[in-house]
Amino acid sequence: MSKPSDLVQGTLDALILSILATESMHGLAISQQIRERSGATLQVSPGSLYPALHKLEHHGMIRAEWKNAESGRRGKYYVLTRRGRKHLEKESAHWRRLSKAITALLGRV
Amino acid sequence: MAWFARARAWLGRMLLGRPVQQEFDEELRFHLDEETDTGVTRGLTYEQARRAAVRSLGSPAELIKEECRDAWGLVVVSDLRRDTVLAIRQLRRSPMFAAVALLTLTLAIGATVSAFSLVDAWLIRPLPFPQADRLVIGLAATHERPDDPAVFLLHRDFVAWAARARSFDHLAAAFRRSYLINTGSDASEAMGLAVSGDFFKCLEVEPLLGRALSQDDSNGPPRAVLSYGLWQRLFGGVPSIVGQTISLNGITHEVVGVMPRTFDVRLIDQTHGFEVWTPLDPHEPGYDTNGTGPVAIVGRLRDGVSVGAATREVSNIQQEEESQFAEGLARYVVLLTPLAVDNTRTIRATLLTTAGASACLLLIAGLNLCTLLISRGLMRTREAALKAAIGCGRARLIRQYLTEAALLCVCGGTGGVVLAAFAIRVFASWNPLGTLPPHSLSINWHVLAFTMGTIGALILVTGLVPAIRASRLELAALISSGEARATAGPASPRLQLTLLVVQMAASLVLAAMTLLLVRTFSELQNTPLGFDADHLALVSLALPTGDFDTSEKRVAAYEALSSRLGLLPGVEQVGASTSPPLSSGAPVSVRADVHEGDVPLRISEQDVTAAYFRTVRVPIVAGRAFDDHDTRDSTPVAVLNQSAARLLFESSGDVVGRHIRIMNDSPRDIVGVVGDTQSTFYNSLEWRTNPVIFLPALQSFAAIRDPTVRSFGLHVVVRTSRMVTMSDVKPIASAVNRNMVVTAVTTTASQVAEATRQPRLRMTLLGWFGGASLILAGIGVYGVVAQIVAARRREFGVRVALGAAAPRLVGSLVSKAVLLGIGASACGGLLLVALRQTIKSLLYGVQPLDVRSFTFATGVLLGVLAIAALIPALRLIAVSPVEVLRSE
Repeated sequence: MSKPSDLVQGTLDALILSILATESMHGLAISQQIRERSGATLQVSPGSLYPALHKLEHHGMIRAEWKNAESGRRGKYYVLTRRGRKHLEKESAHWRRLSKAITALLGRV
Repeated sequence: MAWFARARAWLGRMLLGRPVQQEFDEELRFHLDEETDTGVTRGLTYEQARRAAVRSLGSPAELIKEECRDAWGLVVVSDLRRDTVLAIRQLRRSPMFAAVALLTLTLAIGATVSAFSLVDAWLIRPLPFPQADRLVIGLAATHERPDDPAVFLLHRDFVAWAARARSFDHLAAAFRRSYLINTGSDASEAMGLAVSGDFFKCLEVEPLLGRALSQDDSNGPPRAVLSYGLWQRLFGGVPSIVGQTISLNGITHEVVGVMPRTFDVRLIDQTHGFEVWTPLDPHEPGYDTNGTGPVAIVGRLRDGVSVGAATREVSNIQQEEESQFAEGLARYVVLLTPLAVDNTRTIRATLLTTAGASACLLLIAGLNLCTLLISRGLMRTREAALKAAIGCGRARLIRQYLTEAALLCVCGGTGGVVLAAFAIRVFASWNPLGTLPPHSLSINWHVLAFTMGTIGALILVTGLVPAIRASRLELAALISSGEARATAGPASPRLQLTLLVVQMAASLVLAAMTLLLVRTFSELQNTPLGFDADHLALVSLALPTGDFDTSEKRVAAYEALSSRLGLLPGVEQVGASTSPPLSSGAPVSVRADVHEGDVPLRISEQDVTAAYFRTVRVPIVAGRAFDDHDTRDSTPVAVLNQSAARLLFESSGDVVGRHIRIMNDSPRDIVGVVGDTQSTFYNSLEWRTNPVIFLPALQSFAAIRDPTVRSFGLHVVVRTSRMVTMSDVKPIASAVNRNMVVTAVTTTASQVAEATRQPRLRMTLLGWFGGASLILAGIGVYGVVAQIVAARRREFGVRVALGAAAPRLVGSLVSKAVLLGIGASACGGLLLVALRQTIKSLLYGVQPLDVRSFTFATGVLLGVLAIAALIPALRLIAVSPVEVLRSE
């Protein structure tokens, strides 16, 4: 139920990485960013987001650092690693190719 | 490199970071707090905002936390800890089950590991020689018992083998020598081995100091090699011993070497190794090329030659060689045995019995655990199904059960190892076999691994059955059925009953075996020996041939000794023989009357003093015993025992006055017949009445017929009301002659005990195993009946409410258990029938299929079963139908 059915399988990782590409962010901010940047088309619940974040951290794509948020609370911020950036580039290229192909097919209808 | 980055992140987290759960708790709190803030800024109250934040998580926080942990792969580590804690808690909740299971495991593993470690040390591990499996020892056996060495081969056989046999790399002859070692201050006895030149080359062992004996030592001055133990004991382990001289039986020998501590060669079940080695001297009578001196032939088989092939070859050589001689060994068969087997003949049966019994116990214990675990699993079906229903994954459930099983296995295994280590240590110091292996005794880790593996597999499989069943159960079915039907699963009781029957059958076999061994032992104990073994002390002496070279000197020494022994307090009578009681003496060739040309018979002969028969209390059946008038100057006389009289004259009555002729001596008058006495026979579990010829000491005291004997043994029997000790005898012996050595002071009663040592040991060991197996069988039945009672409480309650008599229900349960026992007894009986040939060799005076033993064992088994079933069944009586129905 927490799995976003509208999110193409396997793209959540790429989304997270792309959002972290510009600046480090905590989990809540990441989910807000996804919602905002997709024009509220995509929504990721914390139940999916956090496990994904931990998986990426475990795989060395992102690393975590604890720092104070604007509210003054200590939050866990995720930072893209070099490895993560490389992975993101690969995934984006792959996605562009795929979406071009799909658009080419579906766009004619 | 992906694995590297992952491992680094994982390790960094494990070593430096806080536990994932704790960190995630904070992360989640931060998330909720921030989200709540957002809500509050939108105008919600704090509570509303908080609720909305929690709702927006999408799934329960705990679940998210689990998934985060899963992402880290930490599951295994922390879950293992949690599962273990849970398992310990589960076991503590049912302490009876835990105690019984652990005890069973500890017992079974301990017994099996220690028994098989012993078997390994004795029977499996190779002797400490290079390629020890190629070492064989050659002896002669009779056609009736081709596996038991009956006599030594002759030196001329060795010469023939060495010249013609192609099966061996090396061949050597060896024969025991009893040596009196005179170190100047004290004389002591050591068992020595006279060896031919290639002996040490054959064994391929290097000496610790100096050199070993070789071909060159056969000629030249006498030389000797010492064992490590003797070197330490008599010479304090000084290296300068090499090159020094020692006196062996009065002859000066130069010590040329000392063997290492691990060097241990034994011949025919010796209880410990030899201590001194000397060359076989070809100038010695009996050890020239055609000599008939006795030898054992030690050989190293050529690579690739089997024992069978070598036996065939030397048998042919032996036939050709011995058929040239009239009084040869042609009627014996050659027996080639691996050296390791030769050393373990008497104890092999005991070791294998123990190993068999412990394997049986392991089986019983394993089955018992299975029944216990299945019972327990069934009782917990409801718990498991409930867990499964509220979202506990199947894998998770199985893991939990497995952890419990593994925990049991580890604890039981540890207990078993401790028990085995203890048992082996006790065994080594108790030394019930009377002999220790050349290797040190220790736990065999292969055996341990095997035992643990078997038990572990068994536990895991049975532990899994309920978990798998539970995870398949539908909650709806469970709830609709209620406790009763969900616990009594359809398939398992049958499986359990089968396990129980197998277990009981095995217990029955062990119990019946125990009884058979008890009867064997009591037969051995109660067989009349033909003489009075109580209050009879036995003093064994060794007289060197140098000081006692004539019969007169030996008689004089004995008379001086016996008159002094007679003065000891409590001593009533003193006699002497050349053979101790319970043995018959060396065989001589005898002809009845004086029929020249008759084939002579080989009959044991002993020289005894006039008082001997009176002292050991052997009855005179006809004629008279010897007296002081039977001297060198009077007519040569002899006394026969009844068996000898029957054998020589085919009657035992009227033989007094007839004649016999021993070898080529002048004929002897038979003056009397005495009763038969029992003797032991090498490596066989029975008493035998051997034909014996007695000659008077005053006519031929220990006339040395064997030219190689350097000292001769004299066995003084003392009828006494008080113990005679070494410290009583030693001063007397040295007062008579300094060179006379007291080799042993014992009693005939303890000799009888020694003769029945192996059967008694087997009886005791099997008694323990049999008892343990009966207890285990009882526990198994108890467990199953208790489970049935628990599962069918409701049914019984209803039946009682409907008017059934509780005692009748109890009776039906107990009688079912007994019926099961009868079925198991039938299986056990069939097993015994199958095993009867194996069992037979362990028995004396009782048949393997002895009805009385079997019936009694069955009775005991059924009794145990009835009690084991009765205890839990009695709980039914206490069941109040109202209570049961209300609790539904």
